[in-house]
Amino acid sequence: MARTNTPPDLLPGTLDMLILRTLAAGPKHGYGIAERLRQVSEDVLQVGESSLYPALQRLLLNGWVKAEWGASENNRRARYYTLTPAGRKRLGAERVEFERLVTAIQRVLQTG
Amino acid sequence: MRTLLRRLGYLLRRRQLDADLAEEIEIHRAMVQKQLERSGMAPDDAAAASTRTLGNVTLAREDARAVLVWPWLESIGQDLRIGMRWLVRQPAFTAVAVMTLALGIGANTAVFSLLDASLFRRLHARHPEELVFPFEHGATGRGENRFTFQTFERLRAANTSLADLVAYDPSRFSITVDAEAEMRRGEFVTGSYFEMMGVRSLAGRFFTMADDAPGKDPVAVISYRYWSSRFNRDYAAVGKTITVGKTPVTVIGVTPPAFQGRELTSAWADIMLPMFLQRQLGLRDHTTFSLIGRLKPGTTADQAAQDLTTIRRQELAETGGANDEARAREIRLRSAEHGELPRLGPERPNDTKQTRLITSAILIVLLVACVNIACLLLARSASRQKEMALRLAIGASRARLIRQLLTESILLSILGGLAGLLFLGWTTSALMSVLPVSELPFDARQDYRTLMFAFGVSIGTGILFGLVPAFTASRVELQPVIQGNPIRGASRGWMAKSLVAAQVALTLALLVGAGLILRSLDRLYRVEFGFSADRVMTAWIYPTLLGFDYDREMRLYRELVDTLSSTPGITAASVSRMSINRGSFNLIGPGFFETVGIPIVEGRGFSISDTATSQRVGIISESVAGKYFGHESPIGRLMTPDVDQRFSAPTEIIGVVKEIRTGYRQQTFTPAVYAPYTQARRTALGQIIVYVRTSADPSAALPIVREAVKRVEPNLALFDVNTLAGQLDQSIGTERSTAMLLGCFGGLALILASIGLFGTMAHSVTSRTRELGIRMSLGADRRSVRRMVLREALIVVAAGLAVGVPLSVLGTRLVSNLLFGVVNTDPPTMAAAIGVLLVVILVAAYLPARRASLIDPMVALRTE
Repeated sequence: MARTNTPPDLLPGTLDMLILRTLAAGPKHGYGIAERLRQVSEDVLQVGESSLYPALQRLLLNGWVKAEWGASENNRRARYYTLTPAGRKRLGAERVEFERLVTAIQRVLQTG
Repeated sequence: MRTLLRRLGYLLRRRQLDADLAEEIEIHRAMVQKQLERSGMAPDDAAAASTRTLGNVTLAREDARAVLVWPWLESIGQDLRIGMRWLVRQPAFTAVAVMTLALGIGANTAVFSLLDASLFRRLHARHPEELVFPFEHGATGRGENRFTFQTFERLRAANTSLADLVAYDPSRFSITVDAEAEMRRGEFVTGSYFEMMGVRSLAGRFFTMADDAPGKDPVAVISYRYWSSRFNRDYAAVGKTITVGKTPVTVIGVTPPAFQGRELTSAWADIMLPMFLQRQLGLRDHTTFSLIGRLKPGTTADQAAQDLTTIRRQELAETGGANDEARAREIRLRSAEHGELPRLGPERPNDTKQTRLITSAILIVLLVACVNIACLLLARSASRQKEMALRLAIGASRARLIRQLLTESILLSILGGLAGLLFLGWTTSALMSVLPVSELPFDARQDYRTLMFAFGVSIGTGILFGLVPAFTASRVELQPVIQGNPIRGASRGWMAKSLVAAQVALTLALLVGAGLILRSLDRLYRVEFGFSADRVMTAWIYPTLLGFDYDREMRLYRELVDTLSSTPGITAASVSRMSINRGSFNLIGPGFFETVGIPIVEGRGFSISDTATSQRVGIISESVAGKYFGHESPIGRLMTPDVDQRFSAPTEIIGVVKEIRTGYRQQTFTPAVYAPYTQARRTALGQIIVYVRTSADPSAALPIVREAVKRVEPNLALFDVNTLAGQLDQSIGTERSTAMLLGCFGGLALILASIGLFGTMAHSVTSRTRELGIRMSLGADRRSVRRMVLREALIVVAAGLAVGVPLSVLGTRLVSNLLFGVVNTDPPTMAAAIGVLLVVILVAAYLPARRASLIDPMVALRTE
């Protein structure tokens, strides 16, 4: 029953960080998050709901985001996710860690 | 932690959460669709495409919610629901299984609640772990918690390690409340007792050091039990004056219900009096006192023991006991945390043995119950093959199936446990009635620990009996079952049969144990005692407790015997200082031998003319006469202390009597010497046993006796009223209660085992309907079919017996110390147990066999 929660291209845990980063700009609903990720990454990151929603629930459970029902751009109901202060802190920490990791990988690749 | 709380929150709002997720994902899909429409796609196509891009919506939803709600927790709920439905669908099976488990778990819980007291309970006192009993150990021998009052006072005053030290003297009290005399257990305690124990009074107040001084008003504290039974929990009891002996005493307080003094058994004190009253109300031969102390915080028992030892040795040195023996004296402290009786263990080998025996027997019953239900479940599992196959086919894993089946069996056992708890009060009182409660620290009380125990046992048994069936049932060959052609698993039949065989073996062990003890009892009951115990009533009286002096005591005995002898319905009456089965010397009154039925061989019995001032006289038994006088007649001869120490002065022998046996297990008769109580030392008396021979049933004569006693002395209460036969019976109480217990347990196991065999055979017949049909259509007649099925059952039983016989020989070693006149391999007992087992089991097997032989071949062949 092993199903991956993240697209195979992403490192584990990266999706959570990307979502947090996306929300740092302001509250968004699920579709908005997916669209934003797709646009910014120039269609490289296509996040399906089978990974997006579990990730969002995880963030909710950890208290890094809050969810509230509200009206969307065209006046339809949608559930908006907001970054909490704890989530903001977490984003900072994950960014530092991620950059350290990427730098390390790059170093290995360049010297290899 | 916060995460956990949030998770629990989600669990409670599960429905809301599901709805939110579903809606959210649907909105997501709608947005994708809109996007596609904007890029020029037709609405229908866009809807289809959006669904496609999103993939499996249900899966996405479940994955998302799995993050929040533990899936296993939820599926257990599901398992429980399925299990419940399954149990409700087959009420007969459920009822049998629940009843079986109720018996097994209920009996175990009852035994636990009885043993709880001796194993785990602590005294009801403030910090009971600080309480200690001082024991004085000599150079050799066991220590004793007995001190003179001087020693107590010295130890209390001089020690530096104890917060307090208290002396107590358990006694019996004749209490008259509203002109009704009654004997009660009670004790004298020094004034600071209640303060040291650290309990608060339920009503009124406790006495203190200020109340415990000569000349103070006599006061008493009564127990909650006494307050309930005698005063109906009336608060007016506080302040009431009752008569203890002949002394008016004011009740000033009631102890809380949980307070039992230093006892965890039911034999605790009902009335507590300040120590100074002991001199006027205590028993004459009580000259030493037991002590209990409380360690100062931070002091160890060893330090305190050393402290007390030093003080005691110093005292001995000053009082002239400065020899080697005195120097070797030592005071040790034993923890009082669990009361006066030490815990079961090496200090109480007999109780431990008995406890172990009961526990083993009860565990066997539970085991038989488990095995039995495992059998039934195995039989059931065949009919669920299709269900299992279907579940496997639509994606359940085998582990999931096993969990489902285990959940069901645990559910079953919890239901059984609950049913067992319903009957717990009844089971416990039944147990109490067969156990020698007064000898064991048994005090049945049910509280949360009993519940925890029952719950634990339920879960444990559920797993125990569910495991094998679960593994077997979940091993299903998909293909054939789905095609409607299930394979009758050979291994399943084998498993069920070995379980039945195991039941047979365990049941045999119980039956043999019960049989052996029954045979011992039978032998014991045939023992000749040399006196006739029928129709003799006995009771203790304590004239000292009424403050009687010697002359009044003597007068009382004479008047009592006279009055009783002349009362209609009473054929003879007498007294003796010692219990008849207490040994080789006794102080007795006139008419004793006639009353208890000991034949006089030569000479005469004592008469009222044998008084303190007349010639010293004695009566001896035959072998004493033979020993000292050979074949000559001893009548009129003198015996002196230097010949036999039992004579305290030169004594003229006036009679010879037959010898008696003093106990059931006594191999020989006891040579005995009798003296008239009128010529005994004054301190030897103070209390006496009254014997009354009645013309009808002695227990029915009790009111007559009471009435006669009241006429002689209104404040005189009878204590330990019993029949002589009953008294003898008590000496083999352990044998009797064990026989009854093992008998009950054996019967229980027998019923369970026959249910198990019946279920297994019935199932085996059903599943072989087709095979049997073929056999019969090929010419097998009904009788041979019946024989075949019976033979199958017999093989199972034989296998069980083959294991059971050595098992019971091993197991009955536990009862070997209770056996009398039989060995634990006694062939007749073994044969009888096997016989009973065979008959019951064959009846259980016959019904399925008969059904098998009635199968209509045509119908049988068409069934599948």
